[in-house]
Amino acid sequence: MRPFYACGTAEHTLARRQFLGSMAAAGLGTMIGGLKTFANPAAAQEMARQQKRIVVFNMHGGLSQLESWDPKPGTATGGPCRSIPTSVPGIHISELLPKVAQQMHHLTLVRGVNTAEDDHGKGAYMMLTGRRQTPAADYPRIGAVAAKALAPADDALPGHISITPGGGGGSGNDSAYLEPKYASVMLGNGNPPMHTVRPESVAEPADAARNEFRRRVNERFLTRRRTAMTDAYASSYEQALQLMERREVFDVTKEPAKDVERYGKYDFGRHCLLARRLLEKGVTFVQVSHSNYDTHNENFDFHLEQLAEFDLGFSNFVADIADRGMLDSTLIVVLSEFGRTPNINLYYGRDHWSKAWSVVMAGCRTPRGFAFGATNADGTEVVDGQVDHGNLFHTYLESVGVDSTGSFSIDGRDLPIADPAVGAVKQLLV
Amino acid sequence: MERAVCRLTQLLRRTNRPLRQMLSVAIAMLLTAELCIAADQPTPLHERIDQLLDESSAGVAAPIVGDAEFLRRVSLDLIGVPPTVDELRAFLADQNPAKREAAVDRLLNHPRYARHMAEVFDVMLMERRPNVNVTADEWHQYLLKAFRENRPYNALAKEILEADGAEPKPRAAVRFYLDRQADPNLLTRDVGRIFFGRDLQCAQCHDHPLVLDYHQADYHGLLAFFSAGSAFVAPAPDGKTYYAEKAGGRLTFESVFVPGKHTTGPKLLGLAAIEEPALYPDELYVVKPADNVRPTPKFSRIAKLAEMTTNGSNRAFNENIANRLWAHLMGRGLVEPVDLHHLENPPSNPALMRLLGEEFAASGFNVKAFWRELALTQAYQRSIELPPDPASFAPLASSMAADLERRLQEVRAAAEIADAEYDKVASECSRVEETAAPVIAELDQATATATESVAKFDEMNKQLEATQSQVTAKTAVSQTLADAVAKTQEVAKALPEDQELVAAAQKFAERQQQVAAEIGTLTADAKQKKTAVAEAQQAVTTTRQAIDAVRGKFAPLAEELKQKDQLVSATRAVRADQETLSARLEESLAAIKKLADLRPLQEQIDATNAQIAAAESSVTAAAAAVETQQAAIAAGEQARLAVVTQVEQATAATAAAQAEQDRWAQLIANVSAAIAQTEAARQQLPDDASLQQAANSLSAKLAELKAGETAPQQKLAEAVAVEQLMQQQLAAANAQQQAVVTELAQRQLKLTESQQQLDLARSDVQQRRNQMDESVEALQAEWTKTFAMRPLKPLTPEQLCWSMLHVTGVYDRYVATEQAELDKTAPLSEEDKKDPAKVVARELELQQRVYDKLKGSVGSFVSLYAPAAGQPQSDFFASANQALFAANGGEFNNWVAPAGANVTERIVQQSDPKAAAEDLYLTILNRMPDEAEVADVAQYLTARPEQKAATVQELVWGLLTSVEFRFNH
Repeated sequence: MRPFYACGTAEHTLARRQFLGSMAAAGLGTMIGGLKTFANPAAAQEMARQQKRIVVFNMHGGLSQLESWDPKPGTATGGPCRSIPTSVPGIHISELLPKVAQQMHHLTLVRGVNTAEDDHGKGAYMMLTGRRQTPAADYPRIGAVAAKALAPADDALPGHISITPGGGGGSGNDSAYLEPKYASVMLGNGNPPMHTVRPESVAEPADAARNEFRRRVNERFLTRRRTAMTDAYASSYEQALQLMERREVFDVTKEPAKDVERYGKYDFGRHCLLARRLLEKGVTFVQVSHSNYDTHNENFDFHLEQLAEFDLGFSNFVADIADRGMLDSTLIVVLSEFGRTPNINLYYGRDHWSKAWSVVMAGCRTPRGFAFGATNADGTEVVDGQVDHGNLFHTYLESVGVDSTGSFSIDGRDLPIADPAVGAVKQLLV
Repeated sequence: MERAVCRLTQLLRRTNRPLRQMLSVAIAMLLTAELCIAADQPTPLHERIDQLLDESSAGVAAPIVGDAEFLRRVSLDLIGVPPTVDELRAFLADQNPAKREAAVDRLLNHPRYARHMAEVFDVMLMERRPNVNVTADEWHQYLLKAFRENRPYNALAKEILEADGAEPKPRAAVRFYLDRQADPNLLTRDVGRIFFGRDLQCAQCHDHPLVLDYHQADYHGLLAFFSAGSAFVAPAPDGKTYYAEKAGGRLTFESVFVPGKHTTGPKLLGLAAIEEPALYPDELYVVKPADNVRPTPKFSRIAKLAEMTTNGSNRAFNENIANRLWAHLMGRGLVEPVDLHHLENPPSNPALMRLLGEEFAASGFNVKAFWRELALTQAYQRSIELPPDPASFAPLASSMAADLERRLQEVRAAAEIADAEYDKVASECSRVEETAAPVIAELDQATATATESVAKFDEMNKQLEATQSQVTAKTAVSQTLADAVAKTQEVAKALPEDQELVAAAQKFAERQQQVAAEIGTLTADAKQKKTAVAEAQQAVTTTRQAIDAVRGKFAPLAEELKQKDQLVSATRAVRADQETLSARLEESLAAIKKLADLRPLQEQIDATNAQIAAAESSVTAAAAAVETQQAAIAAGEQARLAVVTQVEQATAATAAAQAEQDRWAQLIANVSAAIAQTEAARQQLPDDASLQQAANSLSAKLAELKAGETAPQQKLAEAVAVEQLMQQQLAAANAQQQAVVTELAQRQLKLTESQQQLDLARSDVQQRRNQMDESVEALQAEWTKTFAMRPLKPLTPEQLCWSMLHVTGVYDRYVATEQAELDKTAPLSEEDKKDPAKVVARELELQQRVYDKLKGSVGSFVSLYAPAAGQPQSDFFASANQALFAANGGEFNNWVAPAGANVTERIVQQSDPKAAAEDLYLTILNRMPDEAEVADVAQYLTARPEQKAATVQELVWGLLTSVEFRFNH
């Protein structure tokens, strides 16, 4: 007896067909898999014409929504900061973000986020995967999903880059069941990826010669048997060579001095500029982390200091992306693992708070100059437009033209791209 | 029927190949999934495997590989590294016809065998999850020991499945549970995948949407084995983590799609529910759960799971491990992916799958013996290349197709019946379940009440014990006080005037009375509590009776349920077999049809090729005709142009003659006019002599002129005649040329037409060729799946790294260093060296030391080349990151640098390029180079003679990073 499902039978049928199709393909020993479902064919064409990109600013530790996107001045919970008008009449944000306020006409504030998870690790996992963490399954981070769904298959540049405040580099373990090539390439403090410089012992002509020799050896073998795997292996060396040739993509010092000045001569400013450079050079996904907003003590002083950096770097970044005509093809997201408590504690700090906080989006299908959702007068509850991590994850993907209700077909398994139990937020997609 | 099959099988062994195919098919017709083994002469397993595979491949098979390739293949598979140059040369030189068998035996007893298997099984069982509760060393040593001793796999699996981490069980075995945080859902997923080959994860919230045979009830039945388990951290000083189990109850689940609650106890994938002892809530535990105490239930579900899974009777368990072992050696499983065994992803050879499962279990799960049989099959030794001339098998395939088609219809019909039967039985079972549900609920209620009463009894007992121990303590105090009273009174007697003593005695006596009173109260309290305990005890007994009552009511239902359950399980197994066979036959039939179509396709290609040849010659002829005509046109034009010239000349001549004639006419006219004027003058001057003379003279002249006029007139007439003739000739020439041009146009048209025909035929052939290529590709997939040709198998990250360390001599250098160290710190005496046991022990110690030194490098290499932890580890991927590491990583470039007596150093020292090329190829790719390869190496080495060390490193690098090195082929 075939199972019958009351819910979306057509979808199950479709998924089943894809599944059987991929089973047939698996017989060829290939690793094709991949995304088969764009929102519509036109979107797929559009994507080929204009590559979509995503940049995520991760406000590590938990940015206070009250000192940024959803200020409540003059209330018991509002704290000492005032709110200021922005370039969009009627929308006010915290006075700590004066330059970002001037870019408000590009942004959408999502003020009704409720994720109900106050743990740093779990919250970050949810915001970046769109699902709750369970021991039985691991899910790929948004960067890996974006790289798999959006990056051209033959691209020499990594599709998933994470600029971290410090650290060495290497690869993140964040692609879960997607191929490890979609795991983040980490640019520790903005430095280029590992092993992209020839060792002194191997001069360029020698490298060229040994690669020629390798190609000749391969050619002879491949007359015997050629498969998707042999092609993938042989081409990985060509990709490496191309990446080395394009190493300057990661070199932020190639940017004009006046831009370095504009973005602010500290790490975060430099990282924003590097993100701009990477996106311009065709990288699909960039994550920039700004650390650290976990202000259990002295919340206001910390935010004053941290947000001054953010205000400069981020406002210039948004303005430049818009100026370059890239806003229609670049989704910008500012998120945290959660927000901070309306209640101000004994140490003038705010603690972890996931019930009512804010995320910011811009670009692609995101409305321009919009505030969606609202919290009550003292910011303790969402009263309108409540969304969670799952809704947002769907929305990001839909915004860049990926059908978030589709599946990845991985080694004979169909795995839903986003949590099938929830969907995108229509109001955040135009 | 069995006898008929046996006779056919015997006949089969004596016949030639094509006939053998026919007979094999005949046998396949007779058999369903049963296998016939002639009872009197047991055929070795490897031969039976090949027989079954031959049947499904329609006789097409890739050739058997050469010795060098075989040795590389089997070495990589059994010990994880390629052969050394010496081993390879010896093997190539060996004339023993059974040398492959000998090589397999040698490798199975190689010191690296267990080491390699420990890595293979580590990856299989733990999927590169981080070590948390059991160290990597403990775990590795545990597996190493198991494979050194060739422990039966079921014993290993049993230890792992029943592990709790506590004595006397081996601590390391608990890693499977604990490094998955003892999470019930994760264990359900991974036990299902790793021990049964079924990934039930998608059936957690509803029946699997895509896989017909993965039910939500299967998921929860398996989950019930783990749902009462958790990780338990023992209090200090132990501090270790254990797998702790409570007594488990029934699980309730409901599909998110289909409303209706179901309950289940522990149940193993399609089998009937297990029978658990009917314990009362007060007798569930050996050690009851309490704070900081690891509970021990009387009935352990994981122990039951371990026992029933590994006792040889569980087909899914047996087939899963047989399939995984097969996949390790053969490059892919009969079921692939190895954890998605279900009706629509059947084994590529169901009969073989069954045989392997049964035989492996029957051998006592003897891993080494199984490897040996697999490695000796023809299937294992086939080339990665396409079978030669597959189209020649087409006629045979056509004849098989009809039979297969008929067989498929039969199986489909049988599958439909089995399907209907299963549905019927399953719905009957659901009905009984529905009837039983309220009784089960009642039973659960009674059990809950009983559990409560047990808790109350425990609480009462605890209180009673507390009171009793207070009584005991107070009684002791009272006794001490009594002693003190007696002593002080005694002393007071001796010193009667000492008031203090009297007071003390008094005080003691008072205190004693007070304590006695307290004891009285406590004793009364104890008595009350004893009554309460007795009451609680009574309540427990009553609730037990209540349970008994419900159990009595439930018993017939339980019996019915059990019967239905067993029936469901049996019909489901039948359905699974039929559906599996049907799905597989469909695939075979599709392949057979493709194969059968190869011949007609080839014939069509040949016919069209003949057409092409004809069309080509007619195009050539037409082209030649066009060319001839074009030449004719050229010649005709030349002739015509000559005529045109002549016409022009004639026209000119006519014009000249006309001019001459005109001149004469003018002269005559002039003279005539002069005569007329002279005559007029003479009329006026009649006698003028001079005029008369002039007139005479003029007349004479006129006469003369008139006489001369005929000549130019004649000339003109002649010239005109000539011109007319020429004009006629020109008209004729023009007409002729026109005809020739018209003919050319016709011939050109014909050329175009034949060209079009040719193009048509050519595209037709191209189309058919593409069709043929597609068919061959599909067939290649099918042949790979049925092991008629060898799948290309990437080395695992561990294999790749160890192989690189071996061929570059890094491993040997470490061995030398450790050997020297051991010789210095703990030298073997001459006597020890004669003791084989000590020599072997020393070798293993050496191996361990080298392993410990290199495991860090291997670990970081693996992290770059392997899929993410906890994901299926069989996926191949190649990334730019890996290539960058190989190209620019300091460590990788050090490996290829000249050192010790490694291949780089040897070739730097080698002056003969041929010998150099041989050493290079034998060491790294384990084969002799061909002439072109020798020439390539020689040329490379001479390009920059002043940088020989560098060029040799480049050559080594080029071979190490080649596709040929990356794969096992």
